[in-house]
Amino acid sequence: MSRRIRIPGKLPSVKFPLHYEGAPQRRLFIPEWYITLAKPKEKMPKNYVRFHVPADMTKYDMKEYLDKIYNTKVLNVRLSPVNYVRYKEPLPWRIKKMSEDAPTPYQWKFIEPWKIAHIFLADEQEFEFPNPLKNEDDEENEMKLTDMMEAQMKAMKPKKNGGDNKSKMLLENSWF
Amino acid sequence: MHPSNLLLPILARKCLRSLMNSNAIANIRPTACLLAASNCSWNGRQEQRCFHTSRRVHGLEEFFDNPENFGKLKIRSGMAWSVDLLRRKSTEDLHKLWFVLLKERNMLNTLEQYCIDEDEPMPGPDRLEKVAESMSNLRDVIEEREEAKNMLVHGTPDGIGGEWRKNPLGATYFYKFKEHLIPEHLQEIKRGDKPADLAYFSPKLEEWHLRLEEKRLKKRGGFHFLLATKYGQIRARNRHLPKKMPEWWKRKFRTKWLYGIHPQMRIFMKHHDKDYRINSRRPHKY
Repeated sequence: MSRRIRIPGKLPSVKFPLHYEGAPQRRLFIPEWYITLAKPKEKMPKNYVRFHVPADMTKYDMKEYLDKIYNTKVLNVRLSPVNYVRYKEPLPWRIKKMSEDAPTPYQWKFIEPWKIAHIFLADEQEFEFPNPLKNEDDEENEMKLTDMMEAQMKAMKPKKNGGDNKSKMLLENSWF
Repeated sequence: MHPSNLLLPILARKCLRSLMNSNAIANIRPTACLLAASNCSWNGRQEQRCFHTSRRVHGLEEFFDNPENFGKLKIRSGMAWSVDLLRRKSTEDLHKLWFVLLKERNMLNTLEQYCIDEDEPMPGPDRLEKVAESMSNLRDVIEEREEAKNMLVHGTPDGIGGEWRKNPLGATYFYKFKEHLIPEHLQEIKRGDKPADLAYFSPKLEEWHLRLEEKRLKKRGGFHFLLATKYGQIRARNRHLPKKMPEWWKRKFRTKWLYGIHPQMRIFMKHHDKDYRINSRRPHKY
């Protein structure tokens, strides 16, 4: 049995048996669908979640996925496809024509199509996208650092007494 | 210390998490609860990890890492699951592990996408490769087991049987059985799918077959004539041999009839070798 290859847009990742009226429910034991939660740049309602989803998936697949694997109830699913987009891939290692002002050699390529799922959560759920690159504890530490630095600056300030010439010299160069 | 020990305890906790999520198993009470407050059952004692209660989420938290790991630049992770390790697990365990790995992969994908959007380096990018490798190995193991089972039960790796058939032109081919659109117990009109049911006759095909058979018989006749002359020559030298050609001697020339060349014959014949000449012409035969 050969490994089933998925070519997005041409070969589906899953092969189900043919459907007839009264067939039992389709089941997937090993789903090969990987989704990414995306943060929308625009301001969206708190109900709203956005996923990047493989092109094989349907609305019902998405609903079942979230229901069974992540235990989230979903009110509405809308999928919008991102179709083939052609772009230039530069190939700077190819020999460039020296005679003219030729551009760097390039090759036309396509991106693989995928879908964006716009999902609204049910039962008055709210979702806020957290920042996985920032730790709340670090913020407190940062504040402490600034406080410490302020304290150091105050200590470095010149005293009002005359002092020796040496100390005057030192104090003038407040960099050191 | 086996480096996979680092990965396994993390996965064990996540396995418990996934078990908690499934509706069937509701009696398990894990010691370390990593879920949102609304999903947890309060035991009365303090939880090991504190998390924000301001965001109310139903399981979508699993798209993100442990809140302790937020902001870290380096995240240590264990080895990927190898095929040898996975072969020791039962299918049930492998099924659970698949979903654990799936959730981990989704989490890493979201992190990757966020880092691309914010133009920042992703902490621990090797985790993605490891998860992908272990998922691939898992699938290999499951496929191995399925193929072995099918070979024992059906004799074929996919469990789909087949048979040798002849196409209308007489050539043999191996036909693999296809799926019925409507299963047999629901069919109202039973249509046969054996060669006897599918055979059809057209006058063109019949004429073609007859002509081919005529050609073949002619050739056979010629071949028998050659064999008879050869035997005649041998018998002329030894009068004690029987008049009728013996069967064992006829069978010696079976390869010649089937393939056109005798097995003991050299592929290149001496007097024809010189036809393959380089830079010289064949001498004219006077």
